[in-house]
Formats: sequence, structure tokens, C-alpha cells
Amino acid sequence: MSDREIIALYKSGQQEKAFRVIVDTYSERLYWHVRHFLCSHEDADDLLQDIFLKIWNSLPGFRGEAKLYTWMFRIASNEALNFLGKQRVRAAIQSDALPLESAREVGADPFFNGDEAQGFLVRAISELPEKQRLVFIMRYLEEMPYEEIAEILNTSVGALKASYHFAVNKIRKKLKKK
Amino acid sequence: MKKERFDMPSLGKEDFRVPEGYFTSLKERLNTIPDAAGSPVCIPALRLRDRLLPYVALAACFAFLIVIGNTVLRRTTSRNTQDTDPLYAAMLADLIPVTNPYAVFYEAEQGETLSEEEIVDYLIVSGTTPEMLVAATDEE
Repeated sequence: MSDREIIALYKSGQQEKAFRVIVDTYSERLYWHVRHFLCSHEDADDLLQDIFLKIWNSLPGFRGEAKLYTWMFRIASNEALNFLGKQRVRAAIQSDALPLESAREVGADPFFNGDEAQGFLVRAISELPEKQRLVFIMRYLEEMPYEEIAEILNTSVGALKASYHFAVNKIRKKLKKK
Repeated sequence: MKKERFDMPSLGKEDFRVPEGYFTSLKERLNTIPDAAGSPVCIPALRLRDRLLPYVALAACFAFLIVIGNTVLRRTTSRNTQDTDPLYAAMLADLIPVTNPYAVFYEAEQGETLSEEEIVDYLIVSGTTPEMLVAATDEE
């Protein structure tokens, strides 16, 4: 079912059915988006519940100015950024907190299959500034076109390319140091 | 875009896994959200009148303050000018009883002639005795 048909279904009064279609169509993609960003299955699972709750509550306000898919990715990205921000604040408050909580998650995540080199890469990604990290993941792991990322993050393609370039350079340096 | 370009280990979905049957249970859980959360609250878009109302109220407050300030300022200023304004002094002078010697003197200075009767009335009202008049005449 296309985004337009889902919205038409929602507006026809079959809101729960439309939501179910959204869950069926997009939950897996959104899960991977959040999972790559947070590097933890547990956190991604918790956050996905909040993201879909937000989608359900915000659907009446969806005006169709953006694609449904773009709109949901924007919600997911913002929620993931907020989640990381809160996590950092919590880490700063606790004196014994690890400086890189995401790096800890990579090592602790029992659902990571990669080898040591891939582990280093994930760790290097998790050490990037949040927005660069988001851009890198969307481009490198999810292989999204810049235009789509620009629409989701509400920024220009030029800024994204610059951000991606910086992220790649930082990761290269970190991998060389190891 | 090719991942190999960066001399990095390749990384993809296959390097992350999820528990067995995770997506099926995830969808089941997510599908319960509408029942648990209830109907989403639809916030109607604000009408133009409602959007403008705060600004109109603010403008009205400013106008009120300006009017009040202006009124207070005018009253304060007019009170101050009463003391120095010659027109006001002339008005005040009219209120002074004619028995006031200064007023009489002022009028005399203006060249208005007083009748003898008026002078006598003045002397009586002011309590001037004939002895005082004689003494005054002697001094001159």
C-alpha cells in the first residue's frame, strides 16, 4: 500500500487499520535506522515503542507536505537524537559514568555479529558528534541518497556532503590509530 | 557510493542481529498502541482571530499605558504652571478681596482713581484709627 493510500485510509476513519499498515510497512526499517544509530538492540527496542506512539499521536496533524516515510524517519531521527542527548546528560550527572556510553553498548550488545575490525568501526561511528553520526549512518549503512537525507533532516545537500566528509575523515583517523 | 572506497571494514545489517521472531513480536506490540493510547488528540489549527488576539491585547495594553501616562503628565504639568503662569496669577488676583492693601495699591498704580468713599471704607475695614492717620501724615 502506498503512502497516499495509507493516509486516505486514515482519513476515511479507519485509523487503527491505517496504523497497522504503517507498522507492517515501516517498523522494520525504522528499527534498523534506530539500531544503527544507538548501537544497542535493547535501546532501539525501547525507543521504537516511543517513536510509534509519537507517530500515532501526531498522525492527525500530518498534512502531507512531506512523504509519510520521510515524516516518520524525521520523527525517529529526532527521537534518537533526544535519546542520546538524555543519555549523555545522565552520564554526565553520574560521576562513574563511562565517557562513551555508546562504545560500551557496542561491546555489551549481545546481538552484534561483527568481527573485531567491524567492532572498531562501530565504535568509531559511535564517537562521532550526533548529527555527523546520523548523516554517516544514513549514507553509509542505509545507503540513502543525499536528497532523501536532506529532506528527512531538513538541511541542504551541500551541508550533508560536508558533514559526511568530516565524518569519514574522523573515522579514518580513528581506525588508523587503533 | 561504495563502502570499500574508505578502506574500512564493510558493515551492514547482517552484522547486527535480533532475537528470534523479534519483528513479529515487535509488530504485535506496536499494534496495541492505538488501544493503549486511545484516539489521538486532534488539536485544531488556530483561527486568524485567535492568533492575532495576543498581539491586539498587547497593543491595547500599550495604548492604555500611553493614555494614562499622558493624562498624569498633563495634570502634573498644569499644576506646576499654575504657580508661574501670569494668566493664572491674574485670575488669582481677582479672587483676592478688595480690602487687600496690595491689590488696592496695584489698582492705584494702574492709574485707576479711587473715590474718597472707597478710601474711607478701606481705612475702616483695615482698622486704621484717626490717630494712626495723623501720625502717618506727620511722618511724611
